[in-house]
Amino acid sequence: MPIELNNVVTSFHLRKSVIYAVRGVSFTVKDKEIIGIVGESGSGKSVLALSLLQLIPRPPAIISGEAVFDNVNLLSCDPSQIRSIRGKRISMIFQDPLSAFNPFMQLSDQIIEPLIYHDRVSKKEALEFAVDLLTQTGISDAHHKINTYPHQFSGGMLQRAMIAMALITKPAFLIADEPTTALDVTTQAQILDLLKMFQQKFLMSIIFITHNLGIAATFCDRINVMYAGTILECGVTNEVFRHTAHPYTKALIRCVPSLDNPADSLQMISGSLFDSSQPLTGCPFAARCDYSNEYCRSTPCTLEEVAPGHASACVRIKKGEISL
Amino acid sequence: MVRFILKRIFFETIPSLIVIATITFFLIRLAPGGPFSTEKSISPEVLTQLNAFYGLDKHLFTQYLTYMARIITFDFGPSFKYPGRTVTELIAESFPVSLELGVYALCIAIVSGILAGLIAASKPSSLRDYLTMSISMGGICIPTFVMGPLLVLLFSLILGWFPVSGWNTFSNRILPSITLGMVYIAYIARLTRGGLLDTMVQDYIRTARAKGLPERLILIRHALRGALLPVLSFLGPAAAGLITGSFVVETIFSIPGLGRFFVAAAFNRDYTMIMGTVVFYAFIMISFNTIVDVLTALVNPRLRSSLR
Repeated sequence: MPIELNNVVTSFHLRKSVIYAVRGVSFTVKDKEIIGIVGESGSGKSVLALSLLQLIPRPPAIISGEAVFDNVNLLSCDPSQIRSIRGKRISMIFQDPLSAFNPFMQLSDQIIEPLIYHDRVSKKEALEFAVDLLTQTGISDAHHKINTYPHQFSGGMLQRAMIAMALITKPAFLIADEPTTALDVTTQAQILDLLKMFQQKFLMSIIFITHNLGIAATFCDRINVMYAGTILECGVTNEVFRHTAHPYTKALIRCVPSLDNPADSLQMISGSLFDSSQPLTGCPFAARCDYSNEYCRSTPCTLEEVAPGHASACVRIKKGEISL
Repeated sequence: MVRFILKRIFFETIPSLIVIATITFFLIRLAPGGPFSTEKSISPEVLTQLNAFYGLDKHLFTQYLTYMARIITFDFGPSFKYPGRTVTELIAESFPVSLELGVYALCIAIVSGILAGLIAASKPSSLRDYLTMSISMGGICIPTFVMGPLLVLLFSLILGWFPVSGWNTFSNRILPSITLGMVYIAYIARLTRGGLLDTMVQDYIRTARAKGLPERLILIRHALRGALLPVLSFLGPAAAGLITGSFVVETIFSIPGLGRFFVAAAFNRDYTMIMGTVVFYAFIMISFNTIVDVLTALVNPRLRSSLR
């Protein structure tokens, strides 16, 4: 099931200042598509994801724009309507599985909750379904392990349990907010395989948030590169990595540690994140960009197509002044 | 769990009780005066005889040893002020009254306290939050010796719903239970609210919301359990204090409970009665804290292994 985002803005109105976490994001997730959102910490990825399900407390937040899912604007529909969508048609997976589970409740009760609440399934039936799903996520002896508490599980096992909890209602759409960040590399790969398997099985669309470019490159069909609450570059994964069209994306790619030349082992992007309490006048990355000039700092940037299925917000790239 | 409780009794309860009994025994002997110093016309001969009867003429340390040997068999000795009656008898007679009153007060406090906390926390910084919390703040601030007579004035004298004092019928129990429970309602309400506000910002609450559960279900099913942990640890000493009686409330409502003995025994230098009440109170206090430890571990699965 597709979602169409149109100029989504999430701002936090505090006593003395306004924090702009998401500054007008538009993109479409097509049916059965995995779309990646990559960017540094603080770029607004998670806030965007949480905004889509109205999971940001309002006030202090104000969310405007549109996110259309099955003719419903997720951002402005009333509480009972968004509740009927959450966990039923759009599920969410969170970053840290240990804190995302309730430590006082058995896993079984937590996993079957969406099914019991949304579909009015009997507890016995729901449990059978949950055990089956847990087994599919690769947890052996699931009918026994489902009766334990979160602290008795490892991080990888909990993330599998969280996937089972999110998918138990067979949602059409999944939002995965850095689902592999808290896991070690081998577990990461297993979890990604698992998500891919379920995506094909349930024909889901996925918004996949990560700061790991490597994971985004292998897992996503298309990629949005996010910075300071805006999307600086978007396109088909291969295109974005092969013909990078924004200096920020280039800088991010350069930061991925490489085993080939460990001499200049750890690269970083100098400078700090754009101050989210400041209004945007030009390109938000201009202050840290090696290619920026006065024009970059003063001209508002918008995403424009640079190749079929590939858009960039960099004015200098668009004008052909620089190439990366 | 049985092993845990046995371990608690042998390594914690009994040693604590011995230390408490010892300290109390010597402290009350240090206090000026004695059990017979208030009697006006008492001849030296009678005094010597009285001292000999109660064993007060022996060396203090010998007295201590005989006393400690005796309380092992739950015999707290004869009272100095209630001739012909033993301390054990007096406690056995009055404790059930205090226990009953305390249990009512505790029930009132727990039910209304948690309810008030839930109401306040369901919408923080709203009118209902401020209202519930200021009422409960008032409950903490108004002392029982003011609250008791106020309730009597309103419900007994003006409205005539309940009797003024006494302990014969069920309607006798209502006003003292409310008076006694009032302060605790307020504490429990504030602890519940605080606990709920802490848990409502946890990640697992966000997960529950992402599953599409309604707020009320999230509050009760997901947040309350963790939020009640601070309430539970408060309830241990609170319950022990409630069921052992309150001097003020028992005096206001003329209730034949245990509370008055705590004060009377100290004033009268009724040595055996002081020892009896102190050791009894300590025993109840330690037991309730053990119960709370067990309950806490049952509520919090991460602590369950500590019960082994």
